[in-house]
Amino acid sequence: MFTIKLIKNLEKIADLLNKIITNITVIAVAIMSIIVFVQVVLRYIFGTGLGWVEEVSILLMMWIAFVGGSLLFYDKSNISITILIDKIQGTPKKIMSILFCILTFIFSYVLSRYGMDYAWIGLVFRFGGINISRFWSFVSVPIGAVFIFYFTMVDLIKLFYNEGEEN
Amino acid sequence: MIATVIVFIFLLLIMLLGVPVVVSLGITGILFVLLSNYSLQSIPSAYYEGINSFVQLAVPFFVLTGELMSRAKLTEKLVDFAKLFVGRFRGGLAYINIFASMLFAGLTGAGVSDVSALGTILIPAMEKEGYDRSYAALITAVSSIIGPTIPPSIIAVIYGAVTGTSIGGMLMAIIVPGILIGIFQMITVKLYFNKHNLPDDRQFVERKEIPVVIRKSILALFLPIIIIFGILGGIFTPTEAAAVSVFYALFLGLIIYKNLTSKDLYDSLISTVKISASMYMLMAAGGIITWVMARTAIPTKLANLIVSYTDNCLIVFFIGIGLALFLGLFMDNGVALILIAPVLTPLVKSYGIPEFQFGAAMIVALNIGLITPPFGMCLFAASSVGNVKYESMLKYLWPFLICSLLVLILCVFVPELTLFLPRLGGFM
Repeated sequence: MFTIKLIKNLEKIADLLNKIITNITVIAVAIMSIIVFVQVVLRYIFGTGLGWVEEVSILLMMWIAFVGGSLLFYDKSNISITILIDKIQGTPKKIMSILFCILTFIFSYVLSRYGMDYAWIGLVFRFGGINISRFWSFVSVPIGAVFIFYFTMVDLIKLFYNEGEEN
Repeated sequence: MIATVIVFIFLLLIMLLGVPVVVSLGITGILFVLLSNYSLQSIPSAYYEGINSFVQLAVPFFVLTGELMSRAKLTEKLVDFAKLFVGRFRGGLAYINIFASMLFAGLTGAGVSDVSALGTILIPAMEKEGYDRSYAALITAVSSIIGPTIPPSIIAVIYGAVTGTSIGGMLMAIIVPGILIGIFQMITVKLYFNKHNLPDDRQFVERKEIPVVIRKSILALFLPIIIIFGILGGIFTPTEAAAVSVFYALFLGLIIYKNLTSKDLYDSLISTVKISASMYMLMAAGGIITWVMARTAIPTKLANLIVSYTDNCLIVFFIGIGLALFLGLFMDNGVALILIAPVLTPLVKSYGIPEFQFGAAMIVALNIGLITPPFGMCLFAASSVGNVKYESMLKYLWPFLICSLLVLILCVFVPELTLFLPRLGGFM
């Protein structure tokens, strides 16, 4: 009974994370479009640009890419070649799914563990225009990777749990 | 060298097994690091550097423009506009379908969305006029490959980003091949008119309706023109052109056509995040593979290997295109591009083939993969939108496939087709 409750809660957290990340990235895309457009308008009408636009939009792009990208592991909309995997069923398919999860764990572990090391290096460098450290841009990689890890973990637990239920 | 071979065989193996492409590329990079003496920190660093540039911002902007335009219910207006030009010929609706795809290509950046937008309207209309439903679905599918060629074009941005080629130049380079595919397909409709047993339908717009049709559609058709001339004239960078196109689409949807709701806006933004994040992850993971290739000097080794057999640049060109056609058969276009473009582009460049010409030919080749059985994505989409059997469409497919291949061959032998516009824009 306790396990069921735990799994339900883990799923709920995943759903909540999905909602939060979606909304944050949606706002980020909107801001990014607006500032680049305003930049063009300012340049043509007033002959002057804003120095920070390029840096802020790259920063937002990184967060959309790496943190927003983790959502692909939530709704499994990752691009993959499904020609062979579509043809198998039952236990082989389950084994393959477990293999996918393990590989994803390794990948997200490397990205988060070593990505964090890399992010610390960013502290030394700064975005000139907005005067903040590049850490805030680099850190999107490990944060995104932690979310990928979490979403994949929930998937893997569900995979085993559903099997237990069937038995 | 052995480590390199092991690493790439491993990559192909896990990718074909269905491991998500991003994970496959990343794991391959990790394996390479473990087999050689590099630090694992190179992986996140290469992953990050895969997308760290201002030009790549064009991806979400083009995606968002396409999302907004498909929600602004412009399809019928474009169909009417196409009717004005090609409706009067025998087999009018078949031409309209292709011509509307060319117009639609100027509003969206991907092929599959074009199938559902035009297919839902034109397939039933064509069936009503006496076309075989499978033929109607097939025409929708084959003409949709024009979609990714006329700006906004997401695949051109990705090509530019992963190979370091000017994105403005790439956007210009693929316009003419895209238009040619449309024209060749219309000629094919005519040549096979009797063989495919098409009805003699003619679609006319009444004289007094003409100004209305033009007025309703002309503003939407300005979108590709703004992008093309903005970039050609050096008024915008591609990224700025993409941001301007987002606001032009908003202006059309909210003020001129008044049919975008706030829910449409929110949904467009959500799809944009999903699609662009997926492209970005792919490019980032592609950064890892590019890093591996740079460490192993594969492009140089490959070049040396080929040089020892031939010094004919056409053969090298055909090898590259052949590889793109082959991978396009069963891989997503973006994935295939990220795998082979960074290796092949420097190779063909060393043979003196301009990168714009090669890039455009490669994009056309990958798009042809979208309509090549057994896995052509656009064929599947059309068979589901048109509710027809996949196999029943295939009997009409071959002439259209061949005429698209003809455009590809023209791209190889007539460099000016792809180089004329980039040269005009000062990109070379």
